[in-house]
Amino acid sequence: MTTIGFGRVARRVFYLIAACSLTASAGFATEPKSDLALELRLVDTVVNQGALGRGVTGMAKIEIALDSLRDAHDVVLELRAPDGRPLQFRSRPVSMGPLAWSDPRGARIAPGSRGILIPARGRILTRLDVPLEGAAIHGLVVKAKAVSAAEEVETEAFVLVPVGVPMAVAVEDPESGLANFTVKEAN
Amino acid sequence: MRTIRLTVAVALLAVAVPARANWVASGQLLYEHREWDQFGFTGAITIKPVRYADVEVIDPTKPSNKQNLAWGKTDANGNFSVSVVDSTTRSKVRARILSQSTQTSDLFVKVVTPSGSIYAANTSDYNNHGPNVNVNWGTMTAIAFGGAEVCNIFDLAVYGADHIKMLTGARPNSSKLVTFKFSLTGGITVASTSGNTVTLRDTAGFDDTVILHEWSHYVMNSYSKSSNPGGTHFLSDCNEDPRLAFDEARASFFGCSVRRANGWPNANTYVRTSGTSGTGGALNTYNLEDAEQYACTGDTSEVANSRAMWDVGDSAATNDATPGVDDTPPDTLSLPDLENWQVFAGPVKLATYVTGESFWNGWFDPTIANGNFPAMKDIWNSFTIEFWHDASEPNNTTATATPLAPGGGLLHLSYFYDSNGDNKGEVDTDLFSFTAAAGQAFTVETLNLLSANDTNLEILASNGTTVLASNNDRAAGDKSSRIVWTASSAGTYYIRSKRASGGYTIHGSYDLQFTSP
Repeated sequence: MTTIGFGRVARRVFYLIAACSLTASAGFATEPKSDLALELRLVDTVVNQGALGRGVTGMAKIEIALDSLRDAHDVVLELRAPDGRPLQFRSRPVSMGPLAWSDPRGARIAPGSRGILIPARGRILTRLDVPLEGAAIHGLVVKAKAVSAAEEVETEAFVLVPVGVPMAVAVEDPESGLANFTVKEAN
Repeated sequence: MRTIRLTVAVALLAVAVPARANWVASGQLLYEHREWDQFGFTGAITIKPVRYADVEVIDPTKPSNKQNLAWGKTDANGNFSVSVVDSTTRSKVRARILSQSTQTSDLFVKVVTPSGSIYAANTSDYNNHGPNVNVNWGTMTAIAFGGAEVCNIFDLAVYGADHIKMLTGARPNSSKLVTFKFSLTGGITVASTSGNTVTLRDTAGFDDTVILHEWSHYVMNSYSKSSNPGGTHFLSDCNEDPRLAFDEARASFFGCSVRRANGWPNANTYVRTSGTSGTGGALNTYNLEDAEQYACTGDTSEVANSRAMWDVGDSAATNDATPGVDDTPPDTLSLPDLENWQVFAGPVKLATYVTGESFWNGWFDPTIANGNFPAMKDIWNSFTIEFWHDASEPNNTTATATPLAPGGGLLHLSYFYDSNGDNKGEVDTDLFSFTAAAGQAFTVETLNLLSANDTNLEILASNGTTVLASNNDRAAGDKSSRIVWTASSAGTYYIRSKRASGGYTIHGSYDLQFTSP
């Protein structure tokens, strides 16, 4: 009998859910991908309203899925602002630390001599916690790089993260069945 | 009696004469469009009209089911002018422009949230409205990252409907209502289409070619047929399922052909961006006119298939990066989009499995007879998609078997037979004869299979029927074939090469090698 710790179970459940949510469209005609393709989804944002004179901060929890046509190795993620500069938090580049990667079935992928590997036509998953500073809707770019067929390949994805302000671009009204958004009116 | 007559007369008058409007609600809705090129977003914003969208004038103080005061729609310039029959003084009135087209009799398009809500762009409230006061809200603009994406998707769907009208004489009817699901608040990571429903990636609001690609899947689901098994696919994959390769190719080609027909810039380029709020962000830039990019051969590549179909209609007039040039591969065809459309809506719709073969054979089907074989062959041959006789045909029987001597090098062949010369292919068997001395060993094998080919080899006895040796797959996962065989007696023997049973295609090309040590 094998006893699996709660944390391990929770991690497996998370990766299964993530795999399902990020592959829900399988079986449909989907958009074509580049050799290395990244999908990301904002799962949650934890907001700290700030204290002792500090401003509002937030922690964006993001699911990442990476697909590769061919075997790829030395997978690296980078966090960028929309203008291409490294993402900063309190004037310092955000460090992701070691990431826990998994395959779609939830099995942990350990880094080898060539770092994290993606098998040909395979998918790997991870989760990021990204600190953000200031009450605003933040644009966040996650860039992925890997080596495939002896060449560096890269891709990226973009997500908007509301911190301390509502993401109220369209407010759904269940009564009317409408999602309302406002428009800019000329004076 | 007189009272009754008068009442009836008044009632009839009320029915016969439309009520006179008390006031007019007017305005114009525009949206910001983020311009892009092959590198992604350029940083430029253009302003476009929201065309043919429903407009509803409402009293927002009332319950939802009692708010409506009048319906109208925007025109080709995004203007609306809605007559309102309402003699009530109201504390607030408002107009909202909806992402649906119920007020346009021949347009069936809507953009909804993932949960199915129609989007509504709301004007400000006009307060203390008297019953005869016209209200002009002026020019309003939906902004990027604030609803303009919805307007862009709606507008491309209207252009798409008009493209169908150009091809068929009518926009898609109510049974072909297209629904785009799009989220302004995230959560959808891949664009996909099923039936008449297009689900767009949440960052694809300005990825015009992605939107039109997915819309094209809906069009083909509605007017043609798809056998696409779906799932993840990559532009540089040269060995896709032929059903997927063709359907994705057709979606890319057809979506870009809407841009070409409208004379829009970068018509030849499929661009998928990350959706970044900054500039750039192109993830896939796929040039339909550059045969070197994502170069693949055979019809198991969506890129090769799409470039071939694109080139049928491409001309020097295409608004692409090389204006005035009919691009690679050079060809003599610059046919109207209707020629391809006839194939999609005709023979392809009847195919058992829809692949690149369905298109080629449909093109030459007697019901279409699009002809232009030499030019079509030039185009398809540039991608080594070979749907025509090889040099050894006809060699379908032992009587017509092609004599073969060992050591002659690679013989390039295709499984394609055309019994009546109409260029439409049929199932093909290739037969070769050879003479052997007693005890002589031979190796016969197929190599370099293309276009989802799956070979089966047999060595037949002198009677042409007895199978002496055979091989289907050389190894697990390798659909080529290989036979090593030694003749027990001197005589004439035959090699029979045919498509293995199963699969989704009947054609395909290959090389045959015949050796004797």
